[in-house]
Amino acid sequence: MDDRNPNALRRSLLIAGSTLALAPRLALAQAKYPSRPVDFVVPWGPGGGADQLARRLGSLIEKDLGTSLPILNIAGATGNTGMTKLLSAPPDGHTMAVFIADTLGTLAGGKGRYKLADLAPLGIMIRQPSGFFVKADAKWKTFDELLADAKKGEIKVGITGFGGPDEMHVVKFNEQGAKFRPVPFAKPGERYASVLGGHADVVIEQAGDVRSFLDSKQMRPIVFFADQPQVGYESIALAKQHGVTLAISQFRAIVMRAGTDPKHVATMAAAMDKAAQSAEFKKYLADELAFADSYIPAAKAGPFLAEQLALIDANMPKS
Amino acid sequence: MEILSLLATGFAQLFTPVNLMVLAAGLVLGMLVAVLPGLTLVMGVVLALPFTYKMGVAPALILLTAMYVSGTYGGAITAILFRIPGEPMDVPLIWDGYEMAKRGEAALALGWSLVAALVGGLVSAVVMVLLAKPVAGIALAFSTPEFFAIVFFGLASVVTLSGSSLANALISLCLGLLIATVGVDEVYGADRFTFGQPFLQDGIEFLLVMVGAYGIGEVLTRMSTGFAAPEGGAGQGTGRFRTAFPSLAQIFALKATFARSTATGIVVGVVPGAGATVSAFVAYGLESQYGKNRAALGSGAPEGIVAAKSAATASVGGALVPLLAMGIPGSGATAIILAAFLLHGIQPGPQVFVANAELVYTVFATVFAAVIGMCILGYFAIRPLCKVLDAPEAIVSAFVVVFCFVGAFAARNNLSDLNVIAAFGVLGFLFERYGFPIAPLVLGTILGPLAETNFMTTMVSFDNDWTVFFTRPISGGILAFAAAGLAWPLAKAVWKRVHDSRRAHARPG
Amino acid sequence: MPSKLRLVLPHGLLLVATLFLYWAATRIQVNVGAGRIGPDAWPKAIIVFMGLLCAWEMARRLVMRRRDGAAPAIAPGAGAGDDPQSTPAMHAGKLVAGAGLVFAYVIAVPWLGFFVATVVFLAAFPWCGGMRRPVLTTALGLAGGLALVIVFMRVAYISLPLGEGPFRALSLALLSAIGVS
Repeated sequence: MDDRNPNALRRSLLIAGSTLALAPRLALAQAKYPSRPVDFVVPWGPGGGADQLARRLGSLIEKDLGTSLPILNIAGATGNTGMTKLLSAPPDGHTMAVFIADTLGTLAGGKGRYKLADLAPLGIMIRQPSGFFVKADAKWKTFDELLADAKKGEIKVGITGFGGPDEMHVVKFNEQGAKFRPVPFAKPGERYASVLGGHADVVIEQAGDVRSFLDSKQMRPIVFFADQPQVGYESIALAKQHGVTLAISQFRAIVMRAGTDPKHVATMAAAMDKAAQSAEFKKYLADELAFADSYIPAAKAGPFLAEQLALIDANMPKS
Repeated sequence: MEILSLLATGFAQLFTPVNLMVLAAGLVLGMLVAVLPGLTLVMGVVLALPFTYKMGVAPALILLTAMYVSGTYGGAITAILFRIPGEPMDVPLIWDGYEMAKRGEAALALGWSLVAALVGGLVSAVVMVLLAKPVAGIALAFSTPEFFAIVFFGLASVVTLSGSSLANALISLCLGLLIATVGVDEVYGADRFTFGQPFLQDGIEFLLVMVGAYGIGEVLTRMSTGFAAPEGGAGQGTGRFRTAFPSLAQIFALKATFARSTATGIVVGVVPGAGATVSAFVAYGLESQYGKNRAALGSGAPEGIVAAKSAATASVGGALVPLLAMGIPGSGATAIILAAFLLHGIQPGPQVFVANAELVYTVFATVFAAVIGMCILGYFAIRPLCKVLDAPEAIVSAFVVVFCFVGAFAARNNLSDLNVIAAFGVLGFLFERYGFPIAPLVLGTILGPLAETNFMTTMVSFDNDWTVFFTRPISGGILAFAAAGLAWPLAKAVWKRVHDSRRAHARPG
Repeated sequence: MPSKLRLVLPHGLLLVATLFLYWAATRIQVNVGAGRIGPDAWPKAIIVFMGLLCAWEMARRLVMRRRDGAAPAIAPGAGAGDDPQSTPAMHAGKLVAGAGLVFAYVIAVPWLGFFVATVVFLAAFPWCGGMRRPVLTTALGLAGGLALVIVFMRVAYISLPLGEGPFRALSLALLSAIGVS
């Protein structure tokens, strides 16, 4: 170069420089994932088990991903209002949702608006047995007494929503002559208040979710739907001792839309895995009275969901 | 006395430099999110939650509680000045506050709203501290029939918003209720009125209807009048009025309104799932049906502002009661505060008053301090904000439109929502032009889902026996109040018509 | 009679809408257990009520009109706002321009990005409204657009639309200038 046109050189340098300055930023904006906050849909009201899980996980993986995870509580229709939100968002990895057993139940018999295959699971985070809980001063001391009364007259059971495992467990007893009447309360606060206020006699819950009520002696469990006794409540009856072997544990998975870039799914699943191994998360599982081996990584989560769906399909109440 | 000493320790906790700074930050942030339609109070608290992970428990709770308190005020400013309700609870403020502003009394309307917030907030805070445990019982006395009755009462206030035609008001209300049913239904998960459109499956959020019909609709209406400065119009907030506050005598004259609506706010706030919005609507409805000055309501009466605002603020204390005493979150914002407790390993409930008494009373102290701080903040905001009204209307309107869009976009990140807002803006304009009031439409979209879910759940729970609404004492009582309020103006209208036609017949010729 | 038609037109249109909505409500999938009312019950009840109200109001207006002779009198406590006397003078041109601009803004945001669309809108809307001071409104538009971008994208972490092509590059440059990565 012979100084023939210094201006041209300077200009091209300037252009090159500014392009260089801009290019990495642009490239970064394209390639970096997540490139903006990831919406974390909780298809249940704030304060419940799904909500608490999302908030825990959010705080654990936020630092890891370097982005925030705003939580959107979109309650209704046994979780399907929130799932609709997930499935109508673009599959760019910037929306994920909590997917729980009750919502899976609504897919049984292929009746849902979407299929299990429309979801890309990132992991099953927590599994807890469900149980019947009554107000601490309820007249029934044992499940036998409650069942005997349920055969004589109507007993109201607060459930999360129709079509889910909650209703199935209730229906199993009704098939044996009990008269339990399921009443849906989508918001956890309303569900707890219903049994504490005597508007429902029983509420189906997981021990961990109502722990504050158990610890403060406002509620007590009366039966659990599980193969093993509930940790901490070993003396409480199991449903299988009363002729109901159905035991669909409440699980809470994290899912994305199927069709999301597999690399993004893998990034997020790895973040989940890391969170699940943390001491903080393990303490959370213990606090929630959940199975210690709750966590199922993304690779095995799909088959697990399919297996649970088959179980629910087989036990669908015939109406 | 024990309570007083505990409260003193609560204040001592609060009055450390760090915690006071957190309190101030919470107040400002709460005010900001409430001012923006779309960035609702609940969303604001949700956005703030991650910042509390690293804080201690006390500052975390101070921040969220302060945001919650001041978040119930900010929206009043935009509702009164620009007819944009920053929060759904501020919709009733439009009905009287904006009317006052149009008369050139914007500063006074804001002054009334501040006094209302101060009184409602402080009284409910005192009730919360003294009566936390007995009041918490109210939360348990209410089940779905009672809740339906409360919401029905709120809907019945439509009569007072009917303007000139009751039939048109009811049609507008029905339309609002139907808009609320679009999407996936709450109880069974069935698609309703979605016509196969994915964006309709998400439902039409009341926020879009509210912001579109009020905010954009008003801009279009003003545009159609050519932005001719309406005489004594909203542009003279600062010029004509030296004082922004009502006199003590004026305040005292409204003591019944203050008492009624503060009590309403506390009680409705305690009921899980109700919160500030339902409180504001119910208090306004009560005022319009039983208030001394009910005839003037809706045409710029301070009673309307006081009723809605003191109830909304009083609901904060109410909602914190079941949260702290029983661990039951009564509203979206308290649910987030519950999450903050849980994330710090503390379970609210009866035991928390023993195990973490200091913390509980710090929250109580925060409510007191936040109510006062919020009013001071609001006081200094009034004058500069009223100055905005002196700007040319065309410019203010342009900003109003952008504000509406940004707020709504922020709520769901959904561009198709903007079309919905614009469409409701046009609908709002047409409604005003053809004598259909907008208020019932917005009321229906906000309260519709609550009414339906509680109605349906009651039907499921009581085997389709609709008489429970009337036979259960609390719901029966509330419905009787609502029915009396509905029947009275109807009877009056019929009587007047008979009277008029008789007079017309008596006229010769 | 055209004037008679005009009197009942809004409610007539609404009545047609209720018929359509009722048809739509019959197509709601009802899949509930025996003895429960389905998800179609609530909307259907409201639709029927609304239809009755429309029909009643139409009938009332026609009857009232006949009784009171030629003057379309406003019934006590039940008047209509389409009375020409109560309506202020219409600036139809401004209205159409303003509404058009609002819709144009909505359509343009995804293409131009939030910042550019907002600045243009804030500058152009007052002009449509009769405020012919382009320098002032453009300055205000720039300031307003910038302030909103800072508040939302930097403080509140909400991702507003960036636009397409060159506008996207512009938005991204603006974002990095205000320190959003």
